[in-house]
Amino acid sequence: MVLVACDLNEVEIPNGDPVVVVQGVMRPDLPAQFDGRQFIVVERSFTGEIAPVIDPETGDAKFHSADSITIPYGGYPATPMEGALVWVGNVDLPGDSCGPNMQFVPDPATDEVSKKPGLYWGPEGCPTMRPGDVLELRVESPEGDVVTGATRVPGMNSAVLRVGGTSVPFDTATATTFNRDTDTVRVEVDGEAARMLQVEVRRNGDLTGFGTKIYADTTALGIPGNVINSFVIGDEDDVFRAGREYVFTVALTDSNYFDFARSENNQFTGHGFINRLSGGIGIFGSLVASTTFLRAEGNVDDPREGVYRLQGVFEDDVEVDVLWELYLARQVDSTEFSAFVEGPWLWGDIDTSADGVLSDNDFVAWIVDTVGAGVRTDTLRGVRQDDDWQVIVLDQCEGPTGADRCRGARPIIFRGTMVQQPLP
Amino acid sequence: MTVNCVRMWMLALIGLGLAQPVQAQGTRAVVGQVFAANDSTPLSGVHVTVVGQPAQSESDQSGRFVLANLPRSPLRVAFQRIGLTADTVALGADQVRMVVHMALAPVALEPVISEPALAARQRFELIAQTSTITLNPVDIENAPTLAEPDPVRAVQLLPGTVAKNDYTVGFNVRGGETDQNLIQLDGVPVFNPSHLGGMFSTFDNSAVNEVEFIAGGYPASYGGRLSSVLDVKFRDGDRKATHARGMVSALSAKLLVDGPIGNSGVSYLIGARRTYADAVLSLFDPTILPYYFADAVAKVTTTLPAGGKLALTGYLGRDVLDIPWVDAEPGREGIDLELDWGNRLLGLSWSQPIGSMHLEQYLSASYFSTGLGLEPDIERLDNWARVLSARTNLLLSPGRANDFRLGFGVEGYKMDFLQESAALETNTLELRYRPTVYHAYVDDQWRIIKPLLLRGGLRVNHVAGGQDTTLFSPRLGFKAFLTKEIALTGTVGRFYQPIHSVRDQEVPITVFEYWIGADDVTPIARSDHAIVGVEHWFGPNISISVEGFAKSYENIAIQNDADDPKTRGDEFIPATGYAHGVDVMIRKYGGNYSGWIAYSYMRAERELATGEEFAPSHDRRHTFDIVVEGPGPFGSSMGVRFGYGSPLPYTGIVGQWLHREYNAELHAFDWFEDEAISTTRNGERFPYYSRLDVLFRWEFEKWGGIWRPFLQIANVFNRTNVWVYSFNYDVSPPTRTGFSQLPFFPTIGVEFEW
Repeated sequence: MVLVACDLNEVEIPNGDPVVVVQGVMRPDLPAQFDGRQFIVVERSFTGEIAPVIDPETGDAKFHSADSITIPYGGYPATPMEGALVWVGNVDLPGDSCGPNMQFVPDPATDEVSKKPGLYWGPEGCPTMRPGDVLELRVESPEGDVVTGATRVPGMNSAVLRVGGTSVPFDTATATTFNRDTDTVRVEVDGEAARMLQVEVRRNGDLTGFGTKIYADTTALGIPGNVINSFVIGDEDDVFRAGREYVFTVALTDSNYFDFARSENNQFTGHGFINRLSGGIGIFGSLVASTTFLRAEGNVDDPREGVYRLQGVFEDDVEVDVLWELYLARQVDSTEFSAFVEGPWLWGDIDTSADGVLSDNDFVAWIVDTVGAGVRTDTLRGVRQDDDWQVIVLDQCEGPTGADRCRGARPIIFRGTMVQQPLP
Repeated sequence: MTVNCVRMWMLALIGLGLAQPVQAQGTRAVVGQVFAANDSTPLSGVHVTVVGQPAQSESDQSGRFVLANLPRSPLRVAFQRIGLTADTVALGADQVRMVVHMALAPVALEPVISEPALAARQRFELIAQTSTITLNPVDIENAPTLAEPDPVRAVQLLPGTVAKNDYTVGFNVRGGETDQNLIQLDGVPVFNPSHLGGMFSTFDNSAVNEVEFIAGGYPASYGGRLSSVLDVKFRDGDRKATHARGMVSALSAKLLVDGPIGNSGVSYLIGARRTYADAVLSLFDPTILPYYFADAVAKVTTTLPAGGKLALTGYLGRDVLDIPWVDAEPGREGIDLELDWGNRLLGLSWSQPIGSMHLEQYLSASYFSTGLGLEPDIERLDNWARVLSARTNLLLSPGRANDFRLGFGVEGYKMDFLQESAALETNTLELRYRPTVYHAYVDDQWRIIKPLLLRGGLRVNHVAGGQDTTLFSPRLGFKAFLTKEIALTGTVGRFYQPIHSVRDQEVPITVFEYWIGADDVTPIARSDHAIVGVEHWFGPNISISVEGFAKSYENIAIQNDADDPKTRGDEFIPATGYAHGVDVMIRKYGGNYSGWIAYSYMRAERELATGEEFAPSHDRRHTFDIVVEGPGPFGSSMGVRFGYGSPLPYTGIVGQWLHREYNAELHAFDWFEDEAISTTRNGERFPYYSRLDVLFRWEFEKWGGIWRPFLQIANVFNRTNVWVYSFNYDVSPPTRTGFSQLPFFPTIGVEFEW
């Protein structure tokens, strides 16, 4: 029936009523980022008062050049609230060395954080948080609006990863190997003052990617290795692909975060979101997390899958000798693959994962690896000759070393031979 | 008239043995029953007189009549009713039972049109019951609507009802929510009588014999809902010959067959229909409309000795929406978004005269289920609701000046709601409700003096399975005749509802709703009704009724957005409410033009336990509908419907915010959804609604059957009635876009009958 509904004319309407939007998640286990400082985002709702700027090249609508989805990594809100006063205090710890009420400020005395409009940073290592402590928030807008909220800090006593018959505690530096075609990855968490389990799965090295995020009203869940992320549009909808390493994070959250994550406002009725703030909308919650790593292998059931060895000499004195553990993706036309690649490479030893496309007589692959402080992507192309592959590496066309050489055709900087190894 | 059926006489003679001991020596009482000759359905309103004797009677709804104080001598009994061929039958000297079959009259008056007039007139004269309207299949066929004649869509055009948009057959009655309507099919309750999207109700009009709609203050024999009763009765299969009728249109097809089963005296009716818009459109694009519904009905009926009747009714309906969500690939399964929805029911009814009394017995099972899931095994929501019921009604003195009825019964509910992900090994919500409702009632209508009818009733409900509470539900009504054509009427009563359908009443279309029942934390809703009115007849075919009503509500269930899956009893917020209004119905039953004019004024309010007050989304002040049937152009019969509705409330949107997602690994917000911010709940109003529909139907005979091609146009003037608004506040100036309800929508099809 919706098929026969018609759009009516679009009409202009008066500006809406402004609402203060506050979003902050306190972390007792604050990760290494940001100099050990918590942050809170304070912004204004959209009321129609200001218009976005349309990028003439991309057609994207942005309110300013740094208008960003990911915050606080350099970007900041479209409609930030500057000049707000933001305080957080631990009411269960009056003697907190951080003080009873610490102010979050836009310009803390550090260079480790992004000092952008709408971002308010707490003092280093503050507030002190113990499981069960109640933190209180107070935000005063320049216009005099007051937003308040409170969160009870969750604690995580233990988190265990179970794959097959193996149990591994989290915060283990080494990756746990599993077969994505046959195994289920299970996690069990024991916590206190916690309401929800959040599990995040992202490819190692691509933590800002979409990944998979699961909210569960339980303390345990299992993820079949071959499960599909139903909310990803496109080819990257397998939660796990063989030949890749994943960062696997579990988090226990407070009840505010639980409500924040599970609810949303209906676009027609404007209600549905469970708002635990007074005077504004958003979240003041808390969360504790733990992380481990997963190495996804798979069944070898295609003759193109298996181990390959790529050898050659780079610039006359660097011996390249990389092993590829290659798996075809379980989708599309079975030409996409991922592979663990390990060994001496052009720029030094690598232990990473590559993606590529493998057809009968040629293939292309990309190796992404960290070189010093930067990330470098190398493009490989191969042509089958008899049973082996003659491989070339094209120079990257960005970065300080490649820019000049990439005018016109991309130069070849490496030639090698890749040979499939017999199955053990 | 056919009274020469040997078998029926034998049955009558068996009954004679039962009646004989109570006969006085000098006189006798004769008990009889009148049936239609064509399909043996009981005929009510037949005037029965005895030639040369003062005794007279009139057949009741089961066709029964009683003639008292007749001499024990041969007599002649005359039978008469508009629309039937009058006749006179011999009555033997010792005969105390009569079973009579009457033929339809070959007169200019269309019998099916004149019958409801008689029924309505009979009700006017004989029954103290407010707010009751009866529709027959012809009334429903002549009310233009969408696609095919639909009993529930016809009810949406009656006074006291509000249909919130064109896309739903749900209806709100006198300020009540849609789940407050008791909807029965041959006495079996139906949980959700609509097919998904609301285009069709579960009732195929071809199978319908009669629809009775009581908009409030209903008698003590009904219970379990707060607002109204919609009692749909399927017709019996023809006992004489086999018939087939059906319809083919651009959207659906249906076929219904009825007839006798050999010479067993048993008749059957069986039908099925299916939409096939999915199949048609999939020829062009398989993703356009992966939805269909199909349903089937069946009824088997047999007569029993002494005028008894046994009937078994079944219904099976299923809606299926199956959207490919993630395509299957070599080496892995895909994922489908599946939504299914349907009712199943089976009801056995036994109706039996016992002397001057009448016994009715119902046994039924009604089952509703709905499921929404990403399959296989990713995530599922399921709701199952089932009620097993047994009811007994005993009419001790039907049709008498003091008509006393009583009854008792039990309804056992089983309702489960489950949210789970088999793939993720999580079961996040599991609700189970097992209320059992025992009831007993008495209902007594007493004609104290000829112009005054009083009706009192009491229904006692005991709700077990949590609260274990006993509830008293009194009813009191009157009808006072100022003249033979004008009567004042009134009803007050208290009503309880132990089950609720939880849904967001404000969203334009509900994809998923679920039923819950009273337990230790889920309260029983209550409503008090007060209704007064006047009914005036102008001749045999025109009536006007005006009724005012006031209703209060306690403990009705409003969906709680902040429902915590681990907390029982917070699935809804209890609310109180109030509604008052006036309903006007002007109806013409026969002649060249027939139809009705319905007007309703209504005001409804709700107050949540949180103190929030608002108008419910069906709070429509003025509703106006005209339905007219008469001769049309080019030899057609024409139906016209014009409807007007004053603005309905909606919740205004005053801004947007970015609801961010938190990345625990990065300690950052890495995504957001753009969400609306609302202002006062239902504080705004849409523009008014109006729609004109027309229907043209032709009829001709061909190939031994009757063919009725039709053209139906909904929203002839293509008026853009607003369905919902969408707002955009991240532009300057902000904008609002409306989405319309049904546009100009023609449907063609053909009905056929053999």
